[in-house]
Amino acid sequence: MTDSTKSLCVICGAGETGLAVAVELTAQGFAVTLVDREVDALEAAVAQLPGVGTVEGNCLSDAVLKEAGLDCAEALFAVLPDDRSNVFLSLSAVRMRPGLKIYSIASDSAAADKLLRVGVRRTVNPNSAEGLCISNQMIRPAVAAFLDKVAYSAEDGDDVVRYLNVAMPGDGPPSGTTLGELRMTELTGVVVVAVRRKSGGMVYSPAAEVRVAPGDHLIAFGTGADGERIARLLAADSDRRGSRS
Amino acid sequence: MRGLSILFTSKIAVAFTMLLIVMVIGIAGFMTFTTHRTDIVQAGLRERLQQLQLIDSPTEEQLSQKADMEMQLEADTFVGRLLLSSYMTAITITTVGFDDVIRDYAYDFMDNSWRRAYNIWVTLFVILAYLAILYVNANFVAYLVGARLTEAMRRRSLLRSIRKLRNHCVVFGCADAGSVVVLELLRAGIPVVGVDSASAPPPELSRNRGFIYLSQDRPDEDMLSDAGVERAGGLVTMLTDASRNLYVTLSARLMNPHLRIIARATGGDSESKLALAGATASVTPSMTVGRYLVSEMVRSETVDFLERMISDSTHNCRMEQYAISEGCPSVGHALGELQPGRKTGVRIFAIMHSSGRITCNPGADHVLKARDILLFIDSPDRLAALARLLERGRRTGI
Repeated sequence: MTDSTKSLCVICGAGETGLAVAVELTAQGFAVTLVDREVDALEAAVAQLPGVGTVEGNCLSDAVLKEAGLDCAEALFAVLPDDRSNVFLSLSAVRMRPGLKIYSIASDSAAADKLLRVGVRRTVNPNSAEGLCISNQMIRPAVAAFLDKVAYSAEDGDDVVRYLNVAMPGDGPPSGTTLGELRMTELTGVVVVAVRRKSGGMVYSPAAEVRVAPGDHLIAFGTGADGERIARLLAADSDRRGSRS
Repeated sequence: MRGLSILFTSKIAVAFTMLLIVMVIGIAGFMTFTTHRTDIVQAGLRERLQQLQLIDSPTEEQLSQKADMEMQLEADTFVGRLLLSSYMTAITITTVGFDDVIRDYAYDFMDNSWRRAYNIWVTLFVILAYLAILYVNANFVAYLVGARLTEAMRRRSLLRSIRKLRNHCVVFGCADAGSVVVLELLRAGIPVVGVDSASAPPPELSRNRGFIYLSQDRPDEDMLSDAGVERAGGLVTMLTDASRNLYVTLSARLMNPHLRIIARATGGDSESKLALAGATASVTPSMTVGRYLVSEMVRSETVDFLERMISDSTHNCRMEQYAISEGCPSVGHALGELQPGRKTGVRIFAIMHSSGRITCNPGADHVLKARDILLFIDSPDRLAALARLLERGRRTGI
């Protein structure tokens, strides 16, 4: 049923969330297989998304996961209604396919910690996702619109604004260089909105005095060309210094 | 009025009514026995008065006797006996029981059948009174413990403070995602009135300044007006029941045409229905989660970046917006002139124009227009500082 030329994503749980994930993935050009115990839920999904593949059975059984094509899948989405099932499912999937990309929902931080420990790439808390979406719509509608364009839109092209995350190269500006010294905004026109430290800590809206080191990431919004300009600037910086020494 | 109706429907009202009935029975009973005595005494007095009046020339002693008897007749009034009986009833019911005053007062004037009746009456009445008091006590304690009186009073004071609010936000449904919304609104400095069916707000919401919680005890329209939706700036309705969200949206829109209404949709055609009912925007939770999960794989880092920002308690930063109003003095001035970055620390990374077009990383020569929206990542304090900077020219002229 699924197109063998497209990469396959397996979605465990054909509830509302599973269906929404299927819609998004189909729009992004992935082949999708939904797995659920409830035959009604699967039929409803097929009615809405005719191209979707379905497997009826318990997601917690390895045989069912195999039947869904987990062996050749690119990613697994664990969207079962309760956290414990998602943890169990992720654990069995990791055992079958170490290194598989797994994304899961987790309704509390304890479950999220467990899932990340098991090897899940990312967890999403449905309550905070919805709550943030709604509060942005209420108090910051322009932010919501911006994020719709930048984070969720399927648009692609040279002038599309995207999230840029550029690592400071090891041979780039030395540790202790301030952002002001990099002259990022003057030379590339890009505003650095945050610095992610090598340690994982974040500095938001960093001032010119903030010091950066190799391994830190500079975060900005801009086009792909902007991203390349930042990377070139950081590399050029190292060239200059290299030639000086 | 509502407070009173609570009193009449409660157990405490039944208890007090019972107490009243027992008191009436007690007073009526004791009145019977005292009146019996009075009848006898007064009959005797009247007879002797008549005899005295038959004497043509009464002696001094007889005259004073007559005055004395007349006084006695006047003294033994209905009110006097009522007070005596009430006193007896009160000390019996409360089990104080100083003395059997009625016995002292009326016993001598009773024949055996009256005395027997009196003793039976007192026995039965004391038992009845004791049971009534037990019931009253139990219910009174339960009432205080259940704190319904204090609850009613608390509610009244909450409604009073809601009446003072302007441009606040009303949130229907405060559990789970609702509590995230409430916290985000409070963080942005917006007072929130939360409505939910639970008797108390979720623990993470209690003790938050600027948050008032109303537990729902009336239909949705009444709760909307209790929450002051006529004076509110926004309404979020995120109940689990889709039809109720629709109904709340519609009712609120009719009560306040300028309200910003954000509603939880449930997929299908519920978004268009909500829009028809008057919602400003709607959010479908399953679609939001789906989009988050997929963008995780496809455009992996934006959502991660945003989620980290929100869950990081060491910062108070969010992606914020500041809208340039029509009359803002900064309109027509270039960013390089205003220098928001140097003066407030706010780093504007994008400007959304009224057309919906986005200018990412605006340069120093970018000239602000009315209804431009500046986007940046910072704390509420910095947002306020930026507002002050951009509005200051209103007085000083940039």
